[in-house]
Amino acid sequence: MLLMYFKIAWRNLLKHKSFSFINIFGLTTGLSCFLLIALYIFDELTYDRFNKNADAMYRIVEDKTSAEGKQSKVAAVAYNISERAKKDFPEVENATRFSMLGRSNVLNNENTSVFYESYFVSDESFFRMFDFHFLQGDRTTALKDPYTVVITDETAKKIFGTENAIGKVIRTDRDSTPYKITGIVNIPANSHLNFNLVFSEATLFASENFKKFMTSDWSSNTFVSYLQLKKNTNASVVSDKINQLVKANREKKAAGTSSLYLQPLTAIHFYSEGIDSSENSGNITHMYVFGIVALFALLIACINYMNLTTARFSGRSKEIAVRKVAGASQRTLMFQFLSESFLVTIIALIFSLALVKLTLPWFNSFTEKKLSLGTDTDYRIWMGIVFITIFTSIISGIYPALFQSRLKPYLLLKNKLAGIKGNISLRKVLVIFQFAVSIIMIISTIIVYQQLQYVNKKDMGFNKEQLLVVDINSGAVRRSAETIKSEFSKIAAVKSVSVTSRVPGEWKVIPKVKVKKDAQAGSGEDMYFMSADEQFLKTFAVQLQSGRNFTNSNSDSGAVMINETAAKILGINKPSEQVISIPSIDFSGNVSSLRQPYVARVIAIVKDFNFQSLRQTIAPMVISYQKNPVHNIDYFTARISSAHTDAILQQMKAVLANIDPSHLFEYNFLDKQWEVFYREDQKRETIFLGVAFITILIACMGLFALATYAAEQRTKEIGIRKVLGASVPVLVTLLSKDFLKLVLIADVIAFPVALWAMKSWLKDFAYRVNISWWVFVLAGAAALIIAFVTVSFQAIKAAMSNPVKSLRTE
Amino acid sequence: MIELQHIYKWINSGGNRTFLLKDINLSIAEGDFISIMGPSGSGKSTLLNVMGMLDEPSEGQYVFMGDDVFKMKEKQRSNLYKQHIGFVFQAYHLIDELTVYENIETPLLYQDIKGAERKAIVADMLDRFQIVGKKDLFPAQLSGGQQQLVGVARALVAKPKLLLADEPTGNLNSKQGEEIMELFKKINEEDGVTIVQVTHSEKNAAYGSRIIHLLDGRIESTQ
Repeated sequence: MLLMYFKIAWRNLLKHKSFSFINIFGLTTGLSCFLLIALYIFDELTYDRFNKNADAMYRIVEDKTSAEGKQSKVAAVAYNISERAKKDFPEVENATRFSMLGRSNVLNNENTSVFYESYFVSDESFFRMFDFHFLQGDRTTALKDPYTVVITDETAKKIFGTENAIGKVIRTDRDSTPYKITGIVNIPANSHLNFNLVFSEATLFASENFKKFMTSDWSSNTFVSYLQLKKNTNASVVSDKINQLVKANREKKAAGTSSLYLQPLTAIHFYSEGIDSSENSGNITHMYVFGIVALFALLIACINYMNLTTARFSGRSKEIAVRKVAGASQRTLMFQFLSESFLVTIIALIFSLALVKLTLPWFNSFTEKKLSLGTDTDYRIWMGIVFITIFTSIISGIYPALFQSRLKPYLLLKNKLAGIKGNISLRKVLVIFQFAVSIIMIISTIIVYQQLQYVNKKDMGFNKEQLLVVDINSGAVRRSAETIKSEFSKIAAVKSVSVTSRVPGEWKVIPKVKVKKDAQAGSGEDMYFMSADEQFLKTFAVQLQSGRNFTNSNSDSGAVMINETAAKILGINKPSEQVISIPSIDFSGNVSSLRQPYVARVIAIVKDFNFQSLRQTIAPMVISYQKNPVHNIDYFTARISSAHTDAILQQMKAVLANIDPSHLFEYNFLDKQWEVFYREDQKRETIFLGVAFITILIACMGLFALATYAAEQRTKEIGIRKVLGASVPVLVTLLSKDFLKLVLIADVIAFPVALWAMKSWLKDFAYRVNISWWVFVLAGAAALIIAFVTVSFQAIKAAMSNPVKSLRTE
Repeated sequence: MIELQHIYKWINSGGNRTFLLKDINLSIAEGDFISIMGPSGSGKSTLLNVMGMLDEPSEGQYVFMGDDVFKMKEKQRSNLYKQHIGFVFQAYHLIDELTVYENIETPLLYQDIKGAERKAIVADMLDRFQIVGKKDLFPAQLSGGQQQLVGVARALVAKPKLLLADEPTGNLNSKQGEEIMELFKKINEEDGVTIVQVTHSEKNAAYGSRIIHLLDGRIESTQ
């Protein structure tokens, strides 16, 4: 019986090729869209879930409030907190620390290249708690001894190539003792912890200084600490105990308050906003939005199947009637139609699996994920696919099945289909909905595009094009900065070279300082700080408002320029060697006082320039001459004039190698760095564009179905009108009018929603475009034209048909 | 076999009651061959549909093989009808997507008959109607007469006791029509199948043992 159903469904598919194509194409689009997004969401939601005990694991977070009332959260705490928690509290099963203590050059004997790597340190419990897959080595003892290191398979390949790395040694420039490789691990893409190498914490104890620091440490924010609690332990009980422990041991000297709490491991990915030293955190709102988009795409595809199937229904009414007369019950017929939709869904699934497989590499590079679909895919994903296939075929098949199997056979045989007219209103609502979403998507795409264009083109007060930034990675290079500058200047394509501590569009933290004018009371104003030389203005094309540039002489040590915003805050109208003092510096929450305040003279005011993303307004900034006690120079920036950047880079590398042969050559193009600020927005633009395209496509199919249906319903009416003398254009208008009305209603719904959504997105930007009315007109008109083209195809076909044919049926 | 008593059927249109059937009293015994005649709109097809349980009257009683049809549950009724009634249409109404073989097989599928048995029954039917050579063709590849032959075969495949035919020869030329009528006669005589046919043709009506004339929803005369 089932085979019979499939057989007739298959023949039907072949017989009505264009309908089948639209059905399968629509479902394929919907399913592919759904599968891609589902893979993405699944990956995000299973972050850190590869750890078997993920539900019992927590990260210790310190919530601090400074004396000035500034609140900050840090996901790193003092050494003794995790160490003593493990020893003292019975609820704690295990504890580990995983901390980055700066960066280090990594080298080895077999390989001449030097890698600049983060220096992560962890203890022997680390691999007992976190289930990173050990390719080689013993997870329980890997980090037990001093001078051992565990590396990832990728790092092993990078350093040792195809050779077996286990047991080999590597060196760092932190100390002279080599490290033995005791393990090779593989890190899943969805782990919030990520490293290339992790060194044993025992190594630190080899240093007396470190040992002293760690054993007495109750207050630093150095160690990212994780606890694994025993089963059925209340985390808040443990955090209370930890707070008491800290209170009892910490010396009371720091002003402000602090409390510690336990953040569940599984919450780290999505709920770490506002916590320092948390990287690549996910956005749960995006998950909801994506989830809705995925379901929506699938649902609309199902609805289109319903629309198309019921639209084509009159062509099958005879078959249904005959089957009923031959004894088919409503149930058997329903079963038949459901198996038809199942067959169509299976075909669509096969296509969409192929499509997903094809688009995954692109999708991965776009989402920066490592999603895959194959035999190694999680079984839950496959189960989900099976489920969604059944779900899709039922959702799309149930309405036609119910509707078609219910009708009386003698009515069907007489072509009296009056009973189905009423259903058109449900479809109209769906079409309005589809088009409203499409219009919102079109508007969003245009406005996001406009804003990104604006951000790229806006005059930022300096020129970010053609700037090459070279990192200073060693003391030798830093000491020889003047020599290097003059060597760089000799390269033909280099117009000017400047040294600075930070650059506008900085990817690392730009430090803040407190600035006091004339020894005023209080702690002073927060301002950003940058060190620069006399070439800064010229190289970056920053304009001087008043005063003078630095000169390359010692007399300028202690000279600063301030930007207009800073001048306003400090009440300086004209630079005239006003004295300001800078008592402390703040690197992302870590405030440290200078040994003695940096006292400086204001020699110039520079015009405001954007040094942060355009989401922020221009903040006050102090640009000090490079010889200052606050912040060392960190970069060379060269303004270059040629497109042959490779040659320039080669020459620069040679100059640096002359000074310090072991120096690691790192460089960035500044305009590329600025693009990084808006990478998420760029992604959003692509997503909007994609979704806009898909929704329009699907909506048009729905409309096409509806138009076909209406044309079929009105065949007789059209025939009579034609006989009575109606012309083709009149008939086309008659048939199209109703649908265009729907699109207009969709416009009315979409405009305010789009306006609201885009306004709240633009709110994030301090500098933004105005939303102009023509965007709405354009989107509305585009939807209207697309809809008209879709509908008129059917309308013209119906209007052109020979009336004799349509009137003969009765 | 069939006992129709005081059957009325009407439709309400704009306050007026239009009668399609008016006080029909008719009894048909097993083995009868009845022809129903009458002008267009006299209620022939409606009466046939009522007998075939495809349509319900507005009023009246229908006893089919001792069971009161309109007091039965939908399910019982459809079982009764599945087992005992076969239908032949003027426009053949074969399923275009199915082959001759599959068309004939369809009623058996809905009676849960096993595959092997089904095969035997259909093969037997094809043989009897001499259309074995056409079994893999689709309806569109057959002439009208051949299509109606398949239609009759399909109606008879489940061994019904009653065959209802709504102008079975209406779309056929006279020679094809004659063949179908001869076939009906044979079925009636040899297999004892009760036949009720609606027809316009006096000649075809004469094949029946009894002719009922309808006019404006009423039985005008019986001969």
